[in-house]
Amino acid sequence: MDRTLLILGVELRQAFRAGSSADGKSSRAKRIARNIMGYAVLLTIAVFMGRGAYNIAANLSEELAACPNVVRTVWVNLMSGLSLGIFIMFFMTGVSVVYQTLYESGDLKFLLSTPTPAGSVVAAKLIVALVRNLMAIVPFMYPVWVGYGAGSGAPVSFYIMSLLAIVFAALLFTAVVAIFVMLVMRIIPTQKMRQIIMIGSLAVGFAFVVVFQVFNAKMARSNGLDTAQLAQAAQGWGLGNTWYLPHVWVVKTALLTTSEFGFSFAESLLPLAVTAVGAFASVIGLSTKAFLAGWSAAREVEKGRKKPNGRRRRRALLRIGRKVAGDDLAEGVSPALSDTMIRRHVSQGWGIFAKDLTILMRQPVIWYSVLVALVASGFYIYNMSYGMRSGDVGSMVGLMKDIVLFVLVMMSTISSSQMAGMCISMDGESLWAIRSMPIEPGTYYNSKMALAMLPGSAVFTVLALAMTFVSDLPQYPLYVSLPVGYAAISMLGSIGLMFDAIKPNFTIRMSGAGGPKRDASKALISMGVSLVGTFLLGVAFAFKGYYSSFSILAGIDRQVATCISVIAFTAIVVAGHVVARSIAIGNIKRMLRGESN
Amino acid sequence: MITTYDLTKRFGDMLAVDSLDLSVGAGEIFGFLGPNGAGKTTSINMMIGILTPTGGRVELAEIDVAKDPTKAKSITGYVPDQPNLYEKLTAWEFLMFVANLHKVEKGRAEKKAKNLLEMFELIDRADEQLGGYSHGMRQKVVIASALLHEPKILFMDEPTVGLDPASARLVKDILRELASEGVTVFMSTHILEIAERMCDRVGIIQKGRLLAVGNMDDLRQAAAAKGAMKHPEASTLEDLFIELTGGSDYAEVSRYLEG
Repeated sequence: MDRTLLILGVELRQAFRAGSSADGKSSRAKRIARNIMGYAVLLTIAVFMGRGAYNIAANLSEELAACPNVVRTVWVNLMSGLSLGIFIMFFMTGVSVVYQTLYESGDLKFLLSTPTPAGSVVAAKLIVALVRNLMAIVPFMYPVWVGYGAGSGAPVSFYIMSLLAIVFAALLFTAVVAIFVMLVMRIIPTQKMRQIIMIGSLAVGFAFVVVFQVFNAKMARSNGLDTAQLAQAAQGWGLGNTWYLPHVWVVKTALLTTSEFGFSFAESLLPLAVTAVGAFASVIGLSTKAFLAGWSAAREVEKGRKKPNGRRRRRALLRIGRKVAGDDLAEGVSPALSDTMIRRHVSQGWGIFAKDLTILMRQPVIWYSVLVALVASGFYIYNMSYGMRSGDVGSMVGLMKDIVLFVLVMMSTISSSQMAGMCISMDGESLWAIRSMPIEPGTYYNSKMALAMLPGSAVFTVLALAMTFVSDLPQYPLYVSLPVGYAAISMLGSIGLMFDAIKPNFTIRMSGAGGPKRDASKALISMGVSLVGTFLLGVAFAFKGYYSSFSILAGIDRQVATCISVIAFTAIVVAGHVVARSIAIGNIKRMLRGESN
Repeated sequence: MITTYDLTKRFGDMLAVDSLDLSVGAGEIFGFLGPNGAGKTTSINMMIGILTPTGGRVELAEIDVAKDPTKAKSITGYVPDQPNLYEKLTAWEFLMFVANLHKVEKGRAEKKAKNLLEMFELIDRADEQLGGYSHGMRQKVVIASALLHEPKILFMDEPTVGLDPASARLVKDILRELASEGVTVFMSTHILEIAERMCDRVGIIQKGRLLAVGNMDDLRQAAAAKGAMKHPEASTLEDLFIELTGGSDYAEVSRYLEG
């Protein structure tokens, strides 16, 4: 226990000192300013989400004041959805955090070489993973619960219990994933197989959670929002039938002290706490048998082909000189080396892009993210297609097309901005190789820009095609939606890239199954700017659909309005690119020359 | 080939390199020596254009590094003190990546890379990811990458650290051959035996200041001028280094410990 606390103390100190440099006060001031900016964005998002939840809760309570049972039913259902949302968010972000913290931490080699028991090390690392998972989710989830509580007049204890429920949910998820990862790492013999099983299983787990939610949503839709039916449903709530599901425990724990719901300790906090703490204890117990062997296995790298080792050194030695430089090396003497995408074209930009792509394709977490993105997108298209029919939109067809298009852009931008935000950082400790080469900043920027756009464009293409063939919602034809989407994604990607150029984080590791460590403040600012950018682009492009609502603009001809839409959209895209490129290249230039040291 | 003029670097209040004036000729092997934290790596980083000096300038083959860093980098090869590589790339992919960045013609790059991998006995493992390489193997890959584009000037920061004796010997052979063909080699090292046997001239730096520069005779004269050594003419580079860097106190301790 003492050693676990000691390790945690060191982790805490490192976390506080992260990002500080030896340069003294000015950089510290900058860091504080950046953090304040990040927290301000975070607070804004939290207030925005909390306010939305408050409004829904307040309206619901007011409108259905006469039917308290109905209100309670709706609340429980909504909170159940939120609780499930917590687990979905954990699946999307938490798995890589657990793996990375347990198997990729830089200090593990040192810690395991000391007489510290493996259990103490694992306990400390698991708590670090728990805190990271909590920090990723609490700013987005807790404000909704707080807003909900405030809007419905919940007792003060509700806020404490709901936070406690989220903490236990995070502990349960972290511990269960840790057990799973430890077993896979210990039992499965090859690295590739381990990755396949881990990624496949987790993606199936995620799909299961989402499918369960789709089923619930479909049931809710089939019931409709008829007050009488809801009241009838309130007699039995249905939650008792799924008493074994963790997200139900979370809801019941949050509402444990809210008297009108009448949930008991035995059906809420008790199973949640016992399961979470039990899972945590199981991880510690398992660590003595499984962790060390699994950790060693995690460091294995797939072996290449073994060839008979000819002692060629001396023969080759005299060919090193500049004049002979391999010219006389007989063809076919050396083993044939694999063709590589990097060498397909001899150009610097292609070289950097292909190198980054090769590295990314070998990241198991990337494939997990792709699987999760596909499942989430399928879920989204299902909901959007069945939630609203083309007949429902009536005279709003034009605006509906714009909304559909920009919702797709927004979804695609999430993956693109994540990639853009780490494009430069992913060069990490190998940056010396880039800096010592004769590369122009513009070339470096262009290749990173291509990489930044890639995931967003791919996701957008899949979504746009799926929406076209699956949904009967009003949509633009592909020859309009694809170029508009790519233009928007490229601009938003360039902004993400600009942020990474301003503040790269070269301490990220892109190895094993561990995903990159994210810089919280940078990621939040980047995400905030991306969302605002998507909104602005959407507003500009949709101008032709809503201009007539303003009396001052009502006289404008429809074709003129369409021209204004296109020009405004294009202007924002071009301006965004110009500004982002200019700032990014300036920073890249300083980085390559070492001015930022 | 390498000329520095009043080269200075400050990190906050700390003076890392203080008015360094150096000139290294074509085909020369120059050893850059100094205690830990003396400013060797900082000096090299400024010379290759990956760290901006606070003052002064660097010329490589008459190219001003600050004014045209891309051109300067195109004629240099660099081996850093830590062989940090992209762990998910194979050695072959890394070499092809470097060849692309130097715009080496495809066929020539492949032949050259194969030759280098053979020479360092890595050809059979060239399709393995670098994450599985040992420190020494990575160091060999880095050295191979620095030679791939046939640089005119080679900067090496502790090039033999982590290498097995045979590979260290190979690196020495390579450096001699490159120098004989007119390539300038600028290397920092802690291994004084390598500097003494291989380098045409050495420079000794301490606390950012260049204390002495020249061949062994020049250094002996410099040590004699300090007047502390009894027989400077018979001294080794190690003796001279300790004398010039003020390490005589440590030498006393060392002698005491040895009995």
